[in-house]
Amino acid sequence: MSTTHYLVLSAILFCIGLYGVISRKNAVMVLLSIEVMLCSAGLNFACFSTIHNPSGQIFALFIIVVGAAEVACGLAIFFLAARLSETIDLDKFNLLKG
Amino acid sequence: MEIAFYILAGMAVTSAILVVSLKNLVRAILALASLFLSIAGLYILLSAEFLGLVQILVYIGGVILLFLFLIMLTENLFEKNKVNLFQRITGVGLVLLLFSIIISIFMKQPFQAIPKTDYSIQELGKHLLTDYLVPFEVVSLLLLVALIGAIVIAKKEENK
Repeated sequence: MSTTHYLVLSAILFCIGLYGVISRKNAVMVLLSIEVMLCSAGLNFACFSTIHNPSGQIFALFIIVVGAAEVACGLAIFFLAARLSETIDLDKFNLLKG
Repeated sequence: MEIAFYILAGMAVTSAILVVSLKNLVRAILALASLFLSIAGLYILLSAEFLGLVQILVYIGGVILLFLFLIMLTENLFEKNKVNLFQRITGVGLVLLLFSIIISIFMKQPFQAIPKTDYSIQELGKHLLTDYLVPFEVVSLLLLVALIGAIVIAKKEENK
């Protein structure tokens, strides 16, 4: 086994997550795809921590914590948006006319 | 080891593709749970057992449950799920470009075998409370603020 196996796997996962972020319109689906990307980043850190030192694992732990916090806040915002505007289609959120 | 890696990697890639392609939100969330499980298995293969256990506890125990609760609370809002063809083609193009760039960088690096390491949980804990004390406290504060913020945002306003 080499690190390249793990790196290629996490590159594939990251690209799949990025595709989800670009192509989905449902806000919750975008959040799910971001979770896939965070997972791949954590896998990269854990892989490099086997070569160097345990700092990589600690960074992966931080990534998990930040992912959980992001999901909690994001879901609360989408819940509020769903109650206010009856939809969570990202293309319909154009109140600011951006 | 090799076989376990390939099984877990195949499971991870399949469930990631399912997450971004399924139309039904509940099924996509269950596919995400299987992705998290296979990533936890990969962590354990990398001899990061603590990380694998935390992944299962926090993600499958917490995050997936949060998503499912949101679906339960807002039933009918999630069914209009049209995917634009133009967006899909742009996504595939950009992602293939990025993937080819990443792989071309990897091809220039030498293959590095994964050494047999075994960082114990004691060692991780010592690192967390000595070298990484400030980031650790900041992250715990971030988690607290995020959870309180989520409650405040999603709370019903009774005065109006």
